[in-house]
Amino acid sequence: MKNINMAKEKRRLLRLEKLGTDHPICGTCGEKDWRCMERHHVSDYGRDKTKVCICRNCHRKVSDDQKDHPAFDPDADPVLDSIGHFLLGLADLLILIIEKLYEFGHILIELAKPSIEQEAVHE
Amino acid sequence: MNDFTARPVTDHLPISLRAFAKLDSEKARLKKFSNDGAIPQGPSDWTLIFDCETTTNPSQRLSFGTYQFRKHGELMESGIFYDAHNNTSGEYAALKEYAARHGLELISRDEFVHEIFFELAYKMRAAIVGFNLPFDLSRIAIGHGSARKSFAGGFSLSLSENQRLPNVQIKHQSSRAAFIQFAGPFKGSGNRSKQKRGEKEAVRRGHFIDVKTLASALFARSFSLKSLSDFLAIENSKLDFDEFDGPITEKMIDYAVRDTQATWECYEKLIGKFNVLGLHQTLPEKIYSEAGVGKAYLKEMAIKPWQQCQPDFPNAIMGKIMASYFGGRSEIRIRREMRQVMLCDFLSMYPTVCTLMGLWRNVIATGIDHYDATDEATEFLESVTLELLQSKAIWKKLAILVRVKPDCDIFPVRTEYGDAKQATIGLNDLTAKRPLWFTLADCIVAKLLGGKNPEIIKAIGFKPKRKQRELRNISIGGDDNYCINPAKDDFYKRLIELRHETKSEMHGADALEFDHLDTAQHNLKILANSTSYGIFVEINVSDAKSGSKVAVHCGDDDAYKISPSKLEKPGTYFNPLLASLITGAARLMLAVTERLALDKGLEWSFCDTDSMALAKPAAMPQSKFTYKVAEIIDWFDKLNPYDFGGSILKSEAVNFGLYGNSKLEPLYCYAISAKRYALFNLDAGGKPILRKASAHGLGHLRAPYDKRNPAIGIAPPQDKLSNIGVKRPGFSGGGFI
Repeated sequence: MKNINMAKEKRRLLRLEKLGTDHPICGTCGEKDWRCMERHHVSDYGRDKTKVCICRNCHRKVSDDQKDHPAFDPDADPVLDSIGHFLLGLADLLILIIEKLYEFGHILIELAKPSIEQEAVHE
Repeated sequence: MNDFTARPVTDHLPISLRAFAKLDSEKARLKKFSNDGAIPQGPSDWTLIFDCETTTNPSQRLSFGTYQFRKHGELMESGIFYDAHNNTSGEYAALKEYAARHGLELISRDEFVHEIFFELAYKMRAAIVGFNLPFDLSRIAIGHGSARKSFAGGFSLSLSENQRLPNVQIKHQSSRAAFIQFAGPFKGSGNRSKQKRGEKEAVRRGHFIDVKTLASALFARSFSLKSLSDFLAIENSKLDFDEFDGPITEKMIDYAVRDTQATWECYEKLIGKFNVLGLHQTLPEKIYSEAGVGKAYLKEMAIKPWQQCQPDFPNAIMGKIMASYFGGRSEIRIRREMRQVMLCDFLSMYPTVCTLMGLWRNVIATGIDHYDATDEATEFLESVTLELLQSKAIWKKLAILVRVKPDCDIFPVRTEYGDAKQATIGLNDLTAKRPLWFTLADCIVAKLLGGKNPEIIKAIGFKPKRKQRELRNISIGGDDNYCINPAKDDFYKRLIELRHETKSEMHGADALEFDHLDTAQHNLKILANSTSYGIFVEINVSDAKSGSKVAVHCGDDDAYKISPSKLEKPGTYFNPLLASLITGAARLMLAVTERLALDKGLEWSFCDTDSMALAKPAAMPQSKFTYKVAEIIDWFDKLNPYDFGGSILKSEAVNFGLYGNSKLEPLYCYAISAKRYALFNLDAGGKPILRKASAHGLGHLRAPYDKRNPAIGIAPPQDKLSNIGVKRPGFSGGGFI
C-alpha cells in the first residue's frame, strides 16, 4: 500500500459511515472536520429518532439546553409530547444559528469598514 | 363495412389472459416512497477492482486473480492472488517471478479475502468493481447455500471460515444484471449496547458495481469487456489471448493484469457518463437496466408512484386492466419467401403514442378516476374511420377499456399455437363465448382489419386526478438547455423534441461539440425509451411461501383464491393502465399502416412493435411500389405531435444505398419469424449483401459460449457467411451460418 495512514483512514471512514454522509457539516456553525462531528437527537435521546449532524461544541451546547426542557411525564400524550420536545430541540438549534448569524453579520460589517491605509489615501 | 362475411372457425384453442394477483398483506409491504431530495450515502472514495482466471475444466476453479485498490482513482496497491490447490509449483514460480518484476503484491486467496476484500474493501465501504462480478465472486468463495429473505431464490456465498465475516448474497435478475449485497453479520457480532436497548443496527450491505450491468443499462446493449473497451475507447483495452488450456505463462498473467486495468478504466468512464445524467438521488450500483435509469429520473422529479398515490384503487378494475394487456404486435405474414420490401418504422413509437394520448398527465397525477363509458365507446366506435384517425384529437379519446363479445373479430390472442408449448400472442380472428377486455384501440383495429364493429358490452373510461404538488424540474445531463418542468411540459414530447434539436445541431459541429451533443441525444433517447412503457408493467416474480393465498382478479367483478408457487410483485412505477393503453395504441398504428398498405395493393412481410416491412407484389413496377410506400408514410404527417415537421412513419436507412447514399436500393427480405430475418441487397451477380439481420431468441447458440466453453449438444458453425459470398458491409469478420 502506498504511504498512507490506514488506521486513521479506517477511523475516518467508520466515522463518516456513522454520520451517514461523506460530507458532514455542522448545521449551526459550519464546521466540517469529520473528527469533531456527531449526531444529535433533536428531541433528546429516547424521545424521537430524528438526528442531525452537528459538531461536538454545538452538540455540547444544545445537549445542555435539553436539560432545561420539561421532564418526562409518563401520563402525557406521547405524540404531542414528542412533537413538543422536537420543537424545543429545534428552537435550541435555531438559537445557536441566530447567534452565529449575529456574529457573522458583525464580522462582515467590520470587514466592510475602510482600512487605515485606505483612509489615508483618500485624505 | 356492410359486406362482412363471417370466416369459419378453424381452431378451438384455450386462451390465456393476464390477471392481477395480490396477496392480502401486500398493501402493508409497499415500500415507503421518499422524495425528500436526500442524497444516499454511496461508497467511500476507495475502489477495489478484481478479476479471476480459472481452470479450464468444467469446475472452473480459481487459478489466480488480479486486483487493484484505489483511492480517488489513484492506484494505492495492485497485486495477484492465487489458489495454491489449483496451481503447480511451476505456475506459482511464474506468478512469483512476474509479481516481483512488476512490483505487484503476491498473496494467497485467503489473504486476498481477509486482508483486502474484508479488511479494506468491506470495512472501508469501497466500491467493489468487476466485469461480470457474480462469476468472480463465486470463484473466490469457499462454499455456497441458498440466500434467504429478500434474496430468496438466490445464492449466499461464503468467502471465509470466520463466521463473523458476512456472506455475499447474489440474486440473478437477467443475463445482464444481478442483485449483490453482503448478508447481515453473524448474530452476536454487532454493537452490544445497541442490542441491549433493542435498537436495530444498520447493516453494511456493501457497494458492488458490475461494469457489465452498468454499461448495458447506460447504453441499452450487451457488452463483453473487449467490446466495451473498444466502445469507450479506453487507453488500455483488453488483450487478445486464448491459450487458457496450458500452464500459467507470462502472457496469461499479462492478459489477467490488463483485464483488471481495462475493467477499472471502463468503470471510470461509465461513472463519468452516469454523473453527467445528474441523478443525484440514485447510486450507480442501483442501476440494473435502462428502466432503472428511467425510474431514477422519475424519482429525481419527485414523482410519486401511482400505487403510493392511490393504494385503494379497486382490485377488480386492476384485473380488467391486466386482462386487456398485450405487448407489442410482432407478426410474420410472408414466411420463408424472398420478397422485395421497404422497411418503415415509427419515430419513437411509445413516447409518440404517449404524447398523442396525453398520458404524461396520468404519470404526474395523484390518482386515476374511472367512469362508465359504455355509451361513449359505442358511439365512438360507430363513427370512427381511417380518415378520422388522422386527427390528433381522436387519440386523446382512447383512454377507455371495453368488454366485448368477440364474434369473428380480429383481436390479440394469447394462446399455444400449433405444437408450441408456450403461449404466444397473435392477432387473429377470435370468437369466444365469454366476454373479454381489450383497449378501445384494439376495437378500432378489429374494425379496420376485420370489417365490422365488435359488440361492446361494457366500457370503463379513465381520467387523471389533479396533478401532484412538489414536482421538481430536472436538467437532463445537468445541462440547463435541457430543462424539463414535469408539471407543465409533456415530458415525452419535450424529450423527443430536444433530441431532434440536438441531432440537428450535430450537423456541422466540430469534433468536441459533436461528442457533447451525441452524449446528450443518447441520454435523451434512453430517458424517452425507459420511461414510456416498461416501468409501467414491471412485475418481479418470487417464490411464494407455502400456504400463501392470493386473490386473482381477471376481468370479472369477483376474484377467486389460489395457492400459487410464485408471487408477482409490482415494480415501483407499476401502472398497467398506461402499459395497456400504450401498447394498444401502438398496435393501432401498425393496423393503420397495414390497412393503408392493403388498400394500395401492397403486402407486408413482417411487423415488430414499431416497424413494418412493406412488400412489393411481384407484378407491381418498382416506381409504383416506392410511390405507394411514400404515400403511406405521408399519411402519418398529420399525426406528428412535435414542433418539428415530417411524418412519424419513417423509411429506415436500410432502404437506401450503402455508406450514406441517399438513393433507394432494392431491399430483399427473407424471414422465418418476426424477429428472425435477414434484409439484403443483391449485387450484380445476384449474391446477397447483408444489410440487417435479426436473430432474436438465438442467444443460446451464440455468446456467452466461445471456443473455450462450447455449448453442449450444439454443432459448431458450418461456415462463415463470407465464405458463401454474403457480404456484410462494415463488418470484416463475417457472420456464421
